[in-house]
Amino acid sequence: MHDDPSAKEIHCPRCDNCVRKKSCPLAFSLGLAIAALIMFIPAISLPILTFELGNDAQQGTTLSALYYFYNDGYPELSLLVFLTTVLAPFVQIIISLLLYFPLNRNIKPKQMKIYFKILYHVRHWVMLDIYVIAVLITYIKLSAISELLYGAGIVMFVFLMLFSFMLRYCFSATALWKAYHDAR
Amino acid sequence: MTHDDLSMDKAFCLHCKHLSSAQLHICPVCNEPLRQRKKNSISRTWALSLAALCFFIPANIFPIMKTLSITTYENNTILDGVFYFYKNGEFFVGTVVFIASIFIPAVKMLVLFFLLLSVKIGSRWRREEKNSLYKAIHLIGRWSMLDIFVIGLMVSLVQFGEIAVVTTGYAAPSFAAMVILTLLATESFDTRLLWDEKGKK
Amino acid sequence: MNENDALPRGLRKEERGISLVWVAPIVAILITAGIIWESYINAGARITIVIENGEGIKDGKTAIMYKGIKIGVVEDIRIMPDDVSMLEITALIDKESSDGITREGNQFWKVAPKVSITEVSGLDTIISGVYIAVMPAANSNEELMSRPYQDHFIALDSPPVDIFDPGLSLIVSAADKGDVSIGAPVLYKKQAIGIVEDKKLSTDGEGVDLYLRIQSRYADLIHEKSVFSKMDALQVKASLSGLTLKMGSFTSFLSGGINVSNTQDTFASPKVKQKQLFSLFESFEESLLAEDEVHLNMKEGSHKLEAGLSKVYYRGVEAGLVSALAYDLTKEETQVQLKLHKEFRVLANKKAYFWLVEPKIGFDHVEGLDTIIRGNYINFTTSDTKAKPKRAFTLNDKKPQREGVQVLLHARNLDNIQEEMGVFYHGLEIGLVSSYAISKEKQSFIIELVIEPQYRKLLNASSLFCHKSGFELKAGLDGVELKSGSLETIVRGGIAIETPNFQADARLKKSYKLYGSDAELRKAEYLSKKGIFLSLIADKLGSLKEGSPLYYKQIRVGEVVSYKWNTQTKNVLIDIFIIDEYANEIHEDTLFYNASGLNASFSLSGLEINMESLETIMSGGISFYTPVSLEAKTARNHEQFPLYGSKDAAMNQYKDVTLYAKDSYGLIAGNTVMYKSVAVGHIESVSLNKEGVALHLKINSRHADLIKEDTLFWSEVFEVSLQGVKNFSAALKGTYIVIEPGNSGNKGEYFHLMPKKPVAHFKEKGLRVVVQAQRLGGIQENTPLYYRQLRIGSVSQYRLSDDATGVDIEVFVEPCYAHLVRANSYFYNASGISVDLSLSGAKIETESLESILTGGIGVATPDDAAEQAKDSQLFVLHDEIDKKALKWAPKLYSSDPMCE
Repeated sequence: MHDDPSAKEIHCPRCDNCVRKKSCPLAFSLGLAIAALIMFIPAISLPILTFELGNDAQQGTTLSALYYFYNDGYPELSLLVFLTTVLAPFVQIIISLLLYFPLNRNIKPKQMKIYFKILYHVRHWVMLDIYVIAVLITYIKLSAISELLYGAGIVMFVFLMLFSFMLRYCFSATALWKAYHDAR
Repeated sequence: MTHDDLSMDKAFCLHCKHLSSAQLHICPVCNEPLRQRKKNSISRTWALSLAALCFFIPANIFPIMKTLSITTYENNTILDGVFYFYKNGEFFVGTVVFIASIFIPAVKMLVLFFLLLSVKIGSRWRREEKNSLYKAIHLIGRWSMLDIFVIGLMVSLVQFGEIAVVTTGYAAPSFAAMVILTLLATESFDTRLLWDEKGKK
Repeated sequence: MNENDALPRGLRKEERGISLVWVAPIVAILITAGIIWESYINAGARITIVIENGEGIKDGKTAIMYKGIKIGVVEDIRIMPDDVSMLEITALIDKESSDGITREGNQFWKVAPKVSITEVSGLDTIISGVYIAVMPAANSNEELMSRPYQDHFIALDSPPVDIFDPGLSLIVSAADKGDVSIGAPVLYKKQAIGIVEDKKLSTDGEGVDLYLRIQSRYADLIHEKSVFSKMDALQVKASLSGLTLKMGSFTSFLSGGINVSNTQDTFASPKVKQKQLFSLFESFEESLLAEDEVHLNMKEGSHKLEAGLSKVYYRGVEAGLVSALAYDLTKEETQVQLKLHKEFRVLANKKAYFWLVEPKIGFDHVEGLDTIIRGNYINFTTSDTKAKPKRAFTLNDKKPQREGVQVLLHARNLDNIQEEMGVFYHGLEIGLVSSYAISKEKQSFIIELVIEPQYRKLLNASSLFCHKSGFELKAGLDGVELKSGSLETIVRGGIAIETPNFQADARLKKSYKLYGSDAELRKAEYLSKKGIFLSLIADKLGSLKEGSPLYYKQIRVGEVVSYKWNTQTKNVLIDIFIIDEYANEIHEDTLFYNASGLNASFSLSGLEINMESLETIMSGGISFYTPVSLEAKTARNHEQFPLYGSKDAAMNQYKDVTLYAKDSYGLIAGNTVMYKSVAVGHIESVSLNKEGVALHLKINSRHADLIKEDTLFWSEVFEVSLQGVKNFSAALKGTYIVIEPGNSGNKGEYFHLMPKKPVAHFKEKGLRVVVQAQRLGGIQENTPLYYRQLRIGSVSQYRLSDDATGVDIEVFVEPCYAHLVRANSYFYNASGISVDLSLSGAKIETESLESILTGGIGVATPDDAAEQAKDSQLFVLHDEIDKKALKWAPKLYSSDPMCE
């Protein structure tokens, strides 16, 4: 409202916390959201790792981890993993699309307040980056025992993680509200 | 005093990062209720941290993962997993797991208690460093989820009937609960409280 | 506080009252407490088990197993506080199982892999690790739950009785414990159906009671008449017909075992109750023996029987055994007690005849040969199976007189014919000599044979009889008796019967002539056939004998009729008979040779065995080769032929060559002479002369062309040296002589034997130059000579130069490359590798891979090539190639039209 929000970052003079953050162009964020959406389905459904023991092989996907947690009698863990690796990124992507798409075309999204609130909170629960590190650790742990193969899913997953990460990095509340108020 | 003046009549909307008059009940930008400080920050943080601490104990002493194979039947606690890596010379990975699973939650809770106590006594000692400490735990806190993901992957990969099966140990929900509670506790703490002077409303 | 409340909501720092968020820690405490309760207090039951040996038990790992599933885990293992000899295990039993496990009377034992000489068990624990198994005290839930609570147990040493399959327990009393140990299997048709649980001295102290437990599902197999016998770990049955070895299960071999046998009437007998008593037999056979004993007495002679071992046979079928032996001093007779099988007992009746069978070996007579292996035995027979059984008999030392068809023979000489001597038809004993007497006219003997009735049809008017003795026994043109005849008939002499014509009158002649020998018989036999007789002259008889076969193209066409020593010619004269249809194959050029035995030739290429037939291995044989010849006349009756010692001898006429050598180089008579790895002759003999050794060679006439005036002979000896293995084939074949044929037109007979292969290209055309080097380096004979990395020759020999300042190396250049070596050519040592280390990396130059291994000499010719080098021209061998020399490229053309 007052000035160009992307112009500079503002830090609190007392605690040096970042009060206003630089924003990427809205079109860039929109592109990231679209790219992430494309990656989403293959990333969570394709096998991430394949573990071979003798003639037997077991493929692990993000969704199969949910199944086994549930199967072992830990639905809460299943839910947690679902939330952090599937639902939260998905919501993040979808809400980003719903926000950035109209804003990019100078249209006010109807449910801006709800969308914004969801996006604001869901950011913290996207843990794709941690999941990628977990894959790496699992790989190290299991490769000592037997043959372990990377599945196609891991590539997709790493990309999804990167897009999601950048989407989060580019999120700027000030910029969004400015765009909202500037729009027709 | 200028700072206090600033805080007296201004409210910073955490959602849209907009600074507006404290007299307004609603943020003019995003229509969120305006607060100078996070709602019930201190008691929430206390409650959530203590709850996390409760879960910290079972999470660490009970097996988080069970390994069944033709030769072994093992219950692995988090520390067993760390030792496994150290024994096999994977010092880096061992350290990562240790930091993520034990060190971070513990430090997080300690830091939160420290900050809460600081606020309680109204200490003005090194407030900037305390703020940095908070920022640090806020940043790294999420990484405690690592162990949950590793278990999830292990469980889904190692399913070989009689030969080798990995299943979830009953400490895993406690661990997850602890992680989530520390995350929420961190989230509910408001660093601005560090600058609020005791008795000064 | 009030001030805080008064502030607008936006400015409030802290809300009043107890926030709802405090539910979180309360819930957390409750959940944590719940988990701790679940895992510690409510996890299940803790029991203690006292165990003697804790080997393999690991706290936190070792499982408590029930019927193969894990129901708990060992939490802790420690030495018992009040008894250092025992260990105390604390085990946590799963909650759902804990109720049943903590009951009085439940039994625990450790399952560990056990591989001892008496037992192999718990093999699954090798992989899964040691575990503790539990057996409940009762097999129903109600019963088990009604038992009082108990959480302290003492582990058993061995697995307890399976409560769900208690099985049938039986007591078997044995005379002694023997070699049956606890844990030994009880087998039924080799299937384990139970185990020996325990053994105790019987109450009367007379024997041992074995406590068996039969698995429930097999309990039906045990009836009152079931026979329990000791398992024969190893059964050896030996007879002349062979040796059989039977081994029981491995466990029973080590720990003994009990065999349960059922006969047909067993199943008819009632089933048994628990704790039924049985007695244990030494063997299944023993259980078949009749209760009462048969007594035999023997007046004189040694019987060499052994109680408990010597067998009794009824017409060759095992019918019992000798149970006891005694000597009655008052009656001066040996008393033998027999135990006969139940079914044979009735045959020992009034008409029974018992006799002792023992080996009788005379010069021409062997009897009871099977006793050598079986041991002496008692045979008996009865002429009337229905007669009344009897208890006491006399043990005779002779077979009973046989009944059968009487045949009379007349013979001029009695020779060694004795009573009891066998009569054989193609090796089959069909009767025996019953008596002999001098005929009325006192000119010949009358011999009476008794032929067993079933063989009557083998005899008719055309039958021929021949006296055989000892090893000469053979009959028939087909000679199958060697394969089918038993050892006894070969060793024993006897009378052989041959019936050449079964179409002849079936009635027996009044009297037959007994031919004195096989040859006589044979001649008589041949006279009835068509064919020709030939005489072969041989140096020695070899393994030939009368009846030895004659083969033509491996078809049996005749045989040796007789042989004799010709005192005048000092030769053996062998008469052979050839069947008429093959007689035409023999003409004056036919070569006869001895085809006896195996002719095996072994070479690097493999083993080759030649033989005419299996029979020739045994009895020798003659074969012949008839060259295609149109003019040759067919052989006449009684024509004489030479008999060669072997096929080779027959096929080859040899050329004699004598070699002189300083040493025999290990050559001995029989070593081969080779040319291009083909044997062309052999060494006939090696003799010493004044100067050294003379070797007399026989070169096959086919290869006689190889022997010229300038033929070279040298010996090839197997050598192992640092340079490698030389003449490996000589290691297998033995040292041999190699020849290199000459080009001369003149033949030679006396040669010099060279100790080793002559220098390469000894006789070849080509250029020979001498290269002088400081040192020999890696150069050897045959080290190649390269020109532009192409092999153009080799080192033929080398020696120290006359003044000993260097080495003279003679290099042979192949004729087609002779023009490349010019008077100004440059020789260099191309041995090994020249490694050029430069900044750009290592550069390795070598003439060829071979030169790395064997070295090499290089030659280069400058662009301004001089005239061609002359024989024996001297060159200097440079240690390294001159860089300039690599660039030389003179155009050189060969003048020899042969090298185009």
